[in-house]
Amino acid sequence: MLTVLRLIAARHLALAKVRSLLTLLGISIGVSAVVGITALNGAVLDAFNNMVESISRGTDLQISAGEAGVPDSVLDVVREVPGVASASPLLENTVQDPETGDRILVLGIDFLADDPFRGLAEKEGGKNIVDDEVAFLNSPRAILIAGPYAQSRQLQKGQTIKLVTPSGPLEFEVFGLLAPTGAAKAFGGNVGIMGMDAAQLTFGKVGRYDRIDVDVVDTEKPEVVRDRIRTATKSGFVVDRPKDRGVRVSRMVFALQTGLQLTSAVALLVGVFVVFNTMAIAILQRRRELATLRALGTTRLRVTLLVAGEAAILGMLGGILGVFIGRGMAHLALGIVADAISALYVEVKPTGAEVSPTLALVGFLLGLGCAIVGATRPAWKAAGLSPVIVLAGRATHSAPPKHPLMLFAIGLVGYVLSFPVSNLPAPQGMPVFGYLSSFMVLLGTALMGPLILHGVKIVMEPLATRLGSVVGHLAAENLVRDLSRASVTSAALMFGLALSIGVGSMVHSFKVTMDAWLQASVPSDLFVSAGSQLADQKNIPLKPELGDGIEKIPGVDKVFHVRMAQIPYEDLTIQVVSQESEVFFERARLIIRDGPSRIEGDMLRRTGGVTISENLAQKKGLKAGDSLVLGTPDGPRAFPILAVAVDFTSDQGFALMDRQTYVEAFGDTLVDMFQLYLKPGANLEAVRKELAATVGRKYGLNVVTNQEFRDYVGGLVDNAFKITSAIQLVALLVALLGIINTLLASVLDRTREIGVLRAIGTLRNQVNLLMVLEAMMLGLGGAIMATVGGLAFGYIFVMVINVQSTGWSLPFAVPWRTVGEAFAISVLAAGFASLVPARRAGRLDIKEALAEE
Amino acid sequence: MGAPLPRKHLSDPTMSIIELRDVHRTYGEGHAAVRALRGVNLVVPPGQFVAIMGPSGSGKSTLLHMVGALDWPSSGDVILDGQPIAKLDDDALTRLRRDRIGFIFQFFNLLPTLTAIENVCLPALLAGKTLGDVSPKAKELLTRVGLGGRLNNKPSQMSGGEQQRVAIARALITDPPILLADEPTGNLDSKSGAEVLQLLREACDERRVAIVMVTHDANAALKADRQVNIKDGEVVSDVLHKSGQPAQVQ
Repeated sequence: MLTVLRLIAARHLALAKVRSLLTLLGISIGVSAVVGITALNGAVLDAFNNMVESISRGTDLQISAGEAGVPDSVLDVVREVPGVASASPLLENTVQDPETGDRILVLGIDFLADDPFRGLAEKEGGKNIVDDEVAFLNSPRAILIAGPYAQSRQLQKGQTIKLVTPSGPLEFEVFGLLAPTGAAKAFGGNVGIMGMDAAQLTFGKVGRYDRIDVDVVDTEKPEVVRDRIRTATKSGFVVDRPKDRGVRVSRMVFALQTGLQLTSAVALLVGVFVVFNTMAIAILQRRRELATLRALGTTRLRVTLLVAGEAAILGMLGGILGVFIGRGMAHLALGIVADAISALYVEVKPTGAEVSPTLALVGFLLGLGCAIVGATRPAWKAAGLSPVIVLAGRATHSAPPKHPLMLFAIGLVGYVLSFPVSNLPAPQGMPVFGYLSSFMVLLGTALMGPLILHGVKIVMEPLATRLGSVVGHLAAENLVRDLSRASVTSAALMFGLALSIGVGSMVHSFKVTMDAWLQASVPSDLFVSAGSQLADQKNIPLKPELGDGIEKIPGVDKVFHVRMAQIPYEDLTIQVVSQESEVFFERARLIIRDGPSRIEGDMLRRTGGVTISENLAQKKGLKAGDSLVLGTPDGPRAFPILAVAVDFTSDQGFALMDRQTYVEAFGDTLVDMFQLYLKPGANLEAVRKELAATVGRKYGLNVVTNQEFRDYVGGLVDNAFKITSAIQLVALLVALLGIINTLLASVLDRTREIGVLRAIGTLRNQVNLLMVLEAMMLGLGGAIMATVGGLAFGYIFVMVINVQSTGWSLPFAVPWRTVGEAFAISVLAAGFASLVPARRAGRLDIKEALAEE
Repeated sequence: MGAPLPRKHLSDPTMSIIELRDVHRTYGEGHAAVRALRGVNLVVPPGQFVAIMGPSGSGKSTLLHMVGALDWPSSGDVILDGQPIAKLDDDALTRLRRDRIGFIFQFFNLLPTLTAIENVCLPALLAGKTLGDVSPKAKELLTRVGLGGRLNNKPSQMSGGEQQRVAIARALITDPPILLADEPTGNLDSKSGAEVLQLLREACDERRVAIVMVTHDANAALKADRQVNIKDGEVVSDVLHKSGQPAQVQ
């Protein structure tokens, strides 16, 4: 069998270079999307886990309370808990190097309690890293900088570095350079270390730690000690194993990463279509050879294996190529994904996206599997060829027409069934059935393809005839001549474009609703923050006194202090936003889904209550009148839920409370953003300039207008979908390869016919026009299918997958612009793709073409 | 079959419509070179029906390709309807084929997606005429070949003989002075074959079309006015059937 495979299949692949190459590309691009995205997702989580691991150095338990922090008094309580061998506090803060814009993780370490200093090398080349340890511990501006970062900034021991901190930009003295070990290698090596007291002062966290790391004595189980700590601290702090932090983060980024992974799977699916198409064409063209093999005694099974083997060769090569391309793609896209995750969830700084041997093997197997799945039906058909009919020349060149109406009906059944399937509950919050129903509608649309192409032919024939006379007429006829092949090509195109339209629906629906929310609930005129234009995960929290004086700037009416803290709530990490609610509600209005018709004035402060986002309500089954129980330094505290409102601050969940309530409950006075209302008639630009010139310059703060704020939020949404868009483009490219493939096959299949046309007087340009028009109609068919399937997919995406993943309910908005673009891209790109086969058709040697059988 | 349209060369009956002068055609180079034609001379006047015969590989098809403006000679001249084809570019050759030459193939080669009348109209439509312009004539031609009742049938709904008759009508739609037939009866039963040959004969007689027909069938060749035998790329005999005299003027 292997000899036959080598003699026939391998040689055939070598002979049909263009087709083999296109198929190889189709497979490898599909595989690369999956491998690339998996590597990216892994890199992001690995970066976080490595950071946790580097800093915690195998500690058994960690005590944390989100951004609000843990009071330092807890440390003594924990140290007394039986089974605790040691407990060391930690402060984690991200600051910005204003010179380079780099973000640096500055850790506050209790050098006296921490042994052996979280894996940091104490000596470098036999010399102590810090010459004068007392001076280091006593100086409020002493810092150790990781060697590689210091090198990149050409920093020497004894020099100073300016960093943007919650106290504004401050000069720090570099007391030593750290070897890249232990905690110093976290965060891509952009690490600084300070003494705990100095760090607490600098970062406005006096009396608080971000975390306490606990080592358990060998004789105790960490789980047992964990429960003791929970009891002893009487609080709602999170006490978990370091690896659980990774789990928590992976849960946070699950929706984003799953979305990316599924998008890449569609690219692979398009690859399967390309293989199917190519192999079907190969069988058609080689039916005589295959029939001869059958006549010579080759069994059906062997013919099947021969065809599948040929596809498998391409699959294996495509898999290998895909792994390499995927690796490159992951490297290129790492920054974009890391930015999106850093802005939306948790700050990560991956240093590289690696393809592990296991992932490489998976990529290879995916390539192989994709090829074999794609080749199964053509191989089956090849085995079913009748030697008698084929060798007698009675086999038709074109595949017999399918039954478009029946296929349409089956497709429709797919649509109908998708609705009850999509309504099934999501197991463990994972929208499995939403994705399944999306697949059902897309597959259903693919089955509707033949009838849709018939429709395109009927509608477009007059126009095509007007454009290209009889050539246009022939192009329209050719469109439905081999309906199976044309349908598969259109379906591949449909998958690529439907993904764009579906995701476009999500983005558009999201933006339309979010814009209404921003208008109603975020009415401030100016926003002042540090480190980022927005109070996202990348901004640097500020001490409240930095805002002193803002109110006195001419034109400023009111200022309120906004704190956006990530606080653990059950298995989620929700965003708790606090501000002076009376000021806030002077202009802001919540879009209430449950509760009183309006929340206003001092209602939040007076009641000590919260409003929560509908996604949090949906995820946890909460409603107005219930309580939100959060862990505070004084133990779990129940905040009455006054209302459930629309809010897009976090896909994990959101709670709004008065600043007074927050500070009382969590003891955290930091501010993420100062928001300003201007007096009526005040000149926005003048106030902004004044702010920038005063507090802005002094503390390194950004001042943005409401419009800029909204644009920035829109940019964040776009950024989150940037990779998805890139994969859509990849899927589209693969689909276009399918068009080139189909039309090349069409040229080969109709060589004699083209020869006849040329012989009886068809000009080369007319042959070119014939191919281009046919391709454009094929593209139009793909676009119509994509619109039908894409909008159905988009509807499920918005109404089911989105709700189950994020809990946000959005009204479905049709992305007309994306639909229009899909039509233009599909038709024009198909026309463009046809130029290669058109050129080949125009240049056919007429006499050789006429000699073709 | 209707009155022939006036053509410039018919005003001078002594002028040839097809002329090959010392035509050589070699494919490939060196040891692999194949000399398909070796100094062929052939003059065909308007209205003459010429049968080309010869064993496989003798050069019949190559000769037909030359006369059909589908190939160029390696040396020598091919002059069709007064135009040396060596001086024409691809588009000009295509137009020459479209307007001045009709083709009939062994396997009919109708376009499967077009009806009989659309197939017949095709060359005229390619020249920019509309269906309205040419369909009366196409109907007339199809009626003349006995298919007046099958105008809207597609090739798959017709027998081989019927398809070949459609092909003859297609070849005549532009009133070409030259009609080339490559084994036109090779794929037909004897009755259909006879009908097709009769139609060709009539086209030649009534419309003064010069026909060059390649055939293996000696009986088919007898329908022609003249029989040219080729062997190894050379004309070995060239006789007029009625007189039995040599036809070629060297």
